[in-house]
Amino acid sequence: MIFLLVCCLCVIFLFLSAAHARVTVTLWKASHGADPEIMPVILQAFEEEYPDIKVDFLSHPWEGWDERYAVAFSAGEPPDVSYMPDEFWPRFAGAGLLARLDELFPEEVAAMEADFPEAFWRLTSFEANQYGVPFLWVAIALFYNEAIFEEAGLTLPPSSLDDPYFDDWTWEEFADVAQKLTEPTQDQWGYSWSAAFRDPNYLYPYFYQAGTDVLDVEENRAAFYGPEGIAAFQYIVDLIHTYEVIPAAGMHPNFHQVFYEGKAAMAPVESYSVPTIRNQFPDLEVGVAFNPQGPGVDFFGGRGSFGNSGYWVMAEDCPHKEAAWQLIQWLSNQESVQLFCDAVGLFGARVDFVPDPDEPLYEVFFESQPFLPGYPLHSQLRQVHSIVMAEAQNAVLLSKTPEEAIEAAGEAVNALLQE
Amino acid sequence: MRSHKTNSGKAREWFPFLLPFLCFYVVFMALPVLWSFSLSFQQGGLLGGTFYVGFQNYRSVWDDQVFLTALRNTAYYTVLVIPTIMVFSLFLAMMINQMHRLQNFVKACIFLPLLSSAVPLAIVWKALFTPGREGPLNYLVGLIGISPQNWLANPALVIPSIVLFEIWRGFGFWTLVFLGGLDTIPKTLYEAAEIDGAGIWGRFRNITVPLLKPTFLFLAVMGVIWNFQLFDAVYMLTYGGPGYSSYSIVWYVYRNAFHFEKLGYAATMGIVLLVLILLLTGFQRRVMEGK
Repeated sequence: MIFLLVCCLCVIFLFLSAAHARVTVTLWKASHGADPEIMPVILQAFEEEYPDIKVDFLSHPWEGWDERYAVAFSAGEPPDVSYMPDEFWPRFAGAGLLARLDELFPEEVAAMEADFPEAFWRLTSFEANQYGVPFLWVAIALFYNEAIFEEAGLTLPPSSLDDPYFDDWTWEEFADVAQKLTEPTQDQWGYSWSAAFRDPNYLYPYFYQAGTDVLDVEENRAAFYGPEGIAAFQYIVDLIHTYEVIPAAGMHPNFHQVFYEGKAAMAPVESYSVPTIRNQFPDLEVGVAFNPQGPGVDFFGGRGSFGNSGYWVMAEDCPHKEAAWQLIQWLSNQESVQLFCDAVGLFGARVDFVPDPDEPLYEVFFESQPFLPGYPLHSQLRQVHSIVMAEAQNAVLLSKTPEEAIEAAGEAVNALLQE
Repeated sequence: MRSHKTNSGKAREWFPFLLPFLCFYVVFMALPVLWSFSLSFQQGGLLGGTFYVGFQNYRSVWDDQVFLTALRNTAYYTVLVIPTIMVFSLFLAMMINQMHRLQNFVKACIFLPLLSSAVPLAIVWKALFTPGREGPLNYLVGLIGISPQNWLANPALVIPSIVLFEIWRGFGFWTLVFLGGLDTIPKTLYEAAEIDGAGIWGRFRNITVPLLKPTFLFLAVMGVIWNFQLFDAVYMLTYGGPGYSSYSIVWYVYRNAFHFEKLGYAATMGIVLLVLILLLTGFQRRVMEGK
């Protein structure tokens, strides 16, 4: 009887120990559309591989991202692992709220480097420490309407580095072509673009092409505050007000729609919009080209384009760092990345990621990788965006000259960075 | 002495009933205000923590051009929206008050926008504000010979556009309050005035307006309080743009607190807003009560 009792107690003890050994890792990610369907598939495979780790996954909308994460982290209840784009996570890293992966797992981190393109891997380090592992990326490229170009008898913009037109495809040439393709009386525009956006994704490429970054992180100052920044704003203002090739005087709230409806010859469009174009505008004959070369040839060839990437990061307060690291490695392995990106129509930030082979429009995005400066990693970048966008809008609306707008933005950003 | 005993005895009876609300008030209203006041003397944010800086935030807020712009925008918006919605709602309430049939149906209809979330309403209004000839609002103004406008991207039009949206969203409530006020005016007064030869204007000026004074006061005070806290229309329609043309104070507070990691500075602006609203409310009461 006593023997039986001891056996029962042992079984209960073993059961409780096993249950106790199973750790739970929380994972938060803002949804890219198909997350609720695809993430459980990836996580189920992970839990089968690591039965002692349970993942508590939360998929949430992008709206309210700042409030959700700021409150969770400041309350000491952050998700163990979360997905953060490059403009978001430095704020948390700067406040000491993210784990330094290179200190925790130096060998594994070093071994992973070869799996990721250099352009994204370098964006995982902030103030000499590594905080993230790349997951996916998006970019903006110049889309053009083939039918409009062919009707006008103009050469298509270059879609390959070997294109003979590539070297001649400059800001001046772009403005000339856009003018030839503009017919305001027929509501046809050479270029659809707008400053009426909260994000600077369509604006910063002009800084890059003019030869400057947004911030000089080393010197902690506004890099655009100078002749390059003025040249960028001046070129935009000229396209709108001198050449008059842009609809709604550069303040259209939905400029992509103008392009999709065939009313514009060219527009900057995100990579993830390709499925939308194929599904909703099947008759639109589109091509993707490189950006025209601006005067800043020493800075990413003067053809800098917008691209940003997202990373898996771990909270410094995470109680199960080993388990969280296993999860991050799983989420960023080839199978998970390919599975996720195929489902949501984004690009995986791995060297072995294979985009949809049946979609020719994706090629230019990958060829453009050398022209992606990426966001400067700075904890106050969001506020910099806000200042620069407001002044860009002032320039576009002619409330300020490009010089005045750049000066106002530069002074405000520098004052902010000195705080 | 006896009376005092009676009062304290009564207090013992009603205090337990008051206690739940009192707790709620202290925890969710009084303490947050006090905490905000304490935060307003600090710098830093939610993520990196805060530290004491004395009155520095209160000094720098008046040098902050964006805050001053937001203050101007909010004042301009409030000055536009309150008289317009008041006149419009009073007119509508008087019309509805004259109706003998379908009055309840009309009341329900005008109240409907208030029951909807601001998000879908903003999506609809964004579509209405579409620039170019295809925009519904541009089509309407085109009928009276006005050229197409970029409503939300023109610095001169963006605040009036938000005013239009907010009036449409809020006029149902204002109208119902006016209807309540009109119901309290005895019909006999109008009949007596009519017998004395008073016309429509005379009755309106000498009976309706004076007897609706408490309603005007209530709506004016609440209107200032609500509209000085303009936020969701800015968040959903303009994001503060173009430039800083539609920045409101609360929008700037929100940006500083959650996006710019400046919780202390945001709290300072919140306290400034609180003081402004208190002053304006006091001023309104003195003027409208004729003190």
